[in-house]
Amino acid sequence: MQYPQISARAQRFMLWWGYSLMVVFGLSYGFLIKLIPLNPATDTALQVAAFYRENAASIRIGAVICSWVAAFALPIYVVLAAQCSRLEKGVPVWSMLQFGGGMMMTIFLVLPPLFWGVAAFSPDRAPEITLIMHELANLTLTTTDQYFIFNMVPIAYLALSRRDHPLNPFPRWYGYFVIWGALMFELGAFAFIPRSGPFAWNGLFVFWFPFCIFGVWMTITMIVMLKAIRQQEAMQANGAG
Amino acid sequence: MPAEPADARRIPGEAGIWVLIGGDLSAFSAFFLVFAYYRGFDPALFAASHRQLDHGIGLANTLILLTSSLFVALAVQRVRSGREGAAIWLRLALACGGAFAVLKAVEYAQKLSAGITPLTNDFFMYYFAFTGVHLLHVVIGSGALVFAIGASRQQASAERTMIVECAAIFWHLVDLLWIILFALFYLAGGHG
Repeated sequence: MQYPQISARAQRFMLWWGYSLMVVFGLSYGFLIKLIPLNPATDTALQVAAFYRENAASIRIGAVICSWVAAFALPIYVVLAAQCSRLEKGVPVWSMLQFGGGMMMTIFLVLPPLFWGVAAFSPDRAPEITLIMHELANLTLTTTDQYFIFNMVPIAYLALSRRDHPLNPFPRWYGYFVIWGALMFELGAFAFIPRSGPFAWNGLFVFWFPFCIFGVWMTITMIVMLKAIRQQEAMQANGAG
Repeated sequence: MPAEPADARRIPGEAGIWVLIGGDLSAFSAFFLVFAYYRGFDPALFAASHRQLDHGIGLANTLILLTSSLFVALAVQRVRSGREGAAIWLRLALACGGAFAVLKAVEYAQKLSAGITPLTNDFFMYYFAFTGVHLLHVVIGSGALVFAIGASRQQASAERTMIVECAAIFWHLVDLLWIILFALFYLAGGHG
């Protein structure tokens, strides 16, 4: 059977483009915005306002850089969608769902730095106003689980159900890893409930689990995709793909 | 070279699913440690909250899941020996999963109508969060059982065995995690 060809070079470029922007995003978020982990949710309005006043310049510079790079995952999802679509017959509905979910997920990494930038924009405003922007930013970062499943379930489904497909780029364990990651990401939404402990917005299950699993997932996806593209190139050279 | 017996060192299901099982066990271990740690700060509150749980429903759900695990094990035995009839055991296990979810919903409704929410105190926040994540596992496990029911109707093959075994492994995990949650929330009351 003849499958649609995809440019290996374009895919590699997009993967590295997305991944390098992710590294820049991580560095800006950690070292300029300085909210890894997020400040405790028990901080008062005065403490929050003081944080933005003292770090106004660096947070605003961080927000500028994030304005350039925060949608980093977009090209990675495009490559995933292209790879997934070759595993489907006819209209690739699972790939479309995966792509739509991925697109929407990028929004929720774009918004928090934007809100932190707004919070730092007027350091002399009333502290309560800064507080609500800070809370909006932090809860946007941690609780936005709406779209993950639409991105991850199709990937897991295609990875596990197309076991004999010659172009399946996903190892079996990757499919299971994605299911586990999707389950763990769901914990983030609990940030609306407590102000301290592991389910607070700076806690183990709401901040550290999703933060680390997302980074590991993106890295593993890079490695798996690059390897698959290399194999597909070899197949293409042999006239099989 | 002498041929190895086919089943000599075979991993049940397939190697990949143990990534999911290992990851989940690690996450739930963290849940349990966190719960034990925070209980240490306020044992009286945790003991008092523990007494507000419906132990009858908790015990019933434990028995339901243990029974479902037995059904799943019987299905695996059938599939491994190449016999028909696995689907009926898997359907019974699925029905147990449904009964568990219904009882859990009743229990949540009772708590909420009594004014007990995740915001009430730390105990109930953990109770709703951990049992909620577990209920999500029951839903996914039920999906896996439906998939396995479809597979079990196919002709005997290594792939059929693998699919049924993978669903069974996940279902046993769902059962195991519940037994620990049951012990943690319903049995270990502590002293208050």
